[in-house]
Amino acid sequence: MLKSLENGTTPFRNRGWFSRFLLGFLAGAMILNLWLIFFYAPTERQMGEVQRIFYFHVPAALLSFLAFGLVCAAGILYLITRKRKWDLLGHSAAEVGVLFCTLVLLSGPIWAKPIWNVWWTWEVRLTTTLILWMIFMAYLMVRSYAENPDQGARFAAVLGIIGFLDVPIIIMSVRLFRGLHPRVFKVQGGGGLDPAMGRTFMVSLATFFLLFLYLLLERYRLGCSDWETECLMEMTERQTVARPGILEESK
Amino acid sequence: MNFLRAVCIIAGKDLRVEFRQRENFTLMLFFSLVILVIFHFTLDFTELSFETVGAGVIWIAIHFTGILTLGHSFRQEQAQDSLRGLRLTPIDPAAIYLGKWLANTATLFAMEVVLIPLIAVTLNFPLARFAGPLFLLIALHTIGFSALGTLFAAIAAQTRRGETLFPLLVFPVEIPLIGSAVRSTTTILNRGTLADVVPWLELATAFNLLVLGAGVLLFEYILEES
Repeated sequence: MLKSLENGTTPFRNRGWFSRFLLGFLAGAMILNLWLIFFYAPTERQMGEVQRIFYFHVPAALLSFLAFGLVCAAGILYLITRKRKWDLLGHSAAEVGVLFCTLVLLSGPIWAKPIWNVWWTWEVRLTTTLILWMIFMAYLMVRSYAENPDQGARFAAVLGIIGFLDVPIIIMSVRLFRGLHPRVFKVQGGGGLDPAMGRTFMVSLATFFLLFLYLLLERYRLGCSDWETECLMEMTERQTVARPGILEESK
Repeated sequence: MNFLRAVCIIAGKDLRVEFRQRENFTLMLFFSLVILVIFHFTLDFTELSFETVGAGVIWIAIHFTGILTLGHSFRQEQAQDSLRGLRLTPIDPAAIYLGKWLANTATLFAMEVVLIPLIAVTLNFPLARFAGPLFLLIALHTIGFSALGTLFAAIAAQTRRGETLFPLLVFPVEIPLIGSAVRSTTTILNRGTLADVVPWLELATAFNLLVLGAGVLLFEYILEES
């Protein structure tokens, strides 16, 4: 990084064509997805309109789990290689993951109130998601309360790894209590998902994946700019110490 | 230096400091007493039986008191920068972790030996009848609690607002273990046998192994100087 800065190139200043392309594509996919969700997919017979929340809720949940997997993987890679990019990836994934997880925790109760008649219940997946959300909030907190970015990166990596490894144990423990989450994809004795609903769901999943990817990339880029600024400041400081007049000279 | 010997030396050092100061232990005991009184006023022990609230009281008291002593185990190293001394000691960081863990577990056990009879007296339950299985459950779950606490205490001691951050790091990750502790203890207090709580015992063992393994592997990254 420092080397490329000293050569006068700034690797992350320009938004890449890929990012622009992704944004455009994402916008199109979102419109299509909304149309599919509200006009194409049939209304569920028993739950009614509120079932449509499923197309937001489930993809967000799946992607937040993916994000937390990424955090763990990036943490391991960072501790082994000590490359800043892995830390940035982990940090970005954690932030986007917490965002998606928050969406899950907010959209769940909106559905649960008319269907289960409660806003919240201590059911397997709800509890697991809530605990995961707390662990990754702690992950973000450790970072911001660390003495310096390097230390924050190490501590967060450790927490991310342990937090993710904890997931099976959390699920196991909550499962030992009884659960009542709807099983959409595996209904015993036929039924299951209407094909139109299935298609809508797949498009939803793809759209959310694109959104996830876009946010992750942009957050990663932001992290890079942050880091770049840090390096530049450090360089200026070093030059100022070496040649005290340099700032006045450059004016 | 032999790995095991290094573990024992670190544990011995911490226990010696604790034994000479007796500050931490006194504080913990007094704190657990305060918690019991608070419990009495929030749950009204005269109306609730120990079968229903006993396990909750035991484990909340152990965790709140324990979080104080665990957090202290690395904060005490900051005085006179003895954390740097630990870093410079030519022994495996994993040995430092295990030594600290042993010392913390021993301190927690000592606290529990006083705390549990105290709870039994205030809640009016016949401790002798449950002593065997209860001892096993408490030992098993304390091991995991102190393993996780020791690991995160090292993180918290090096961050700003570490005292507040520490429980926020430990408790969410530890929730499965707390659940297991409370559920299995409730079963035992309701005259269940150890055979009834085998799934919970397995879960707690899995948690303990996971955290101890992670601690041994990851502790060097926490101890590293930045």
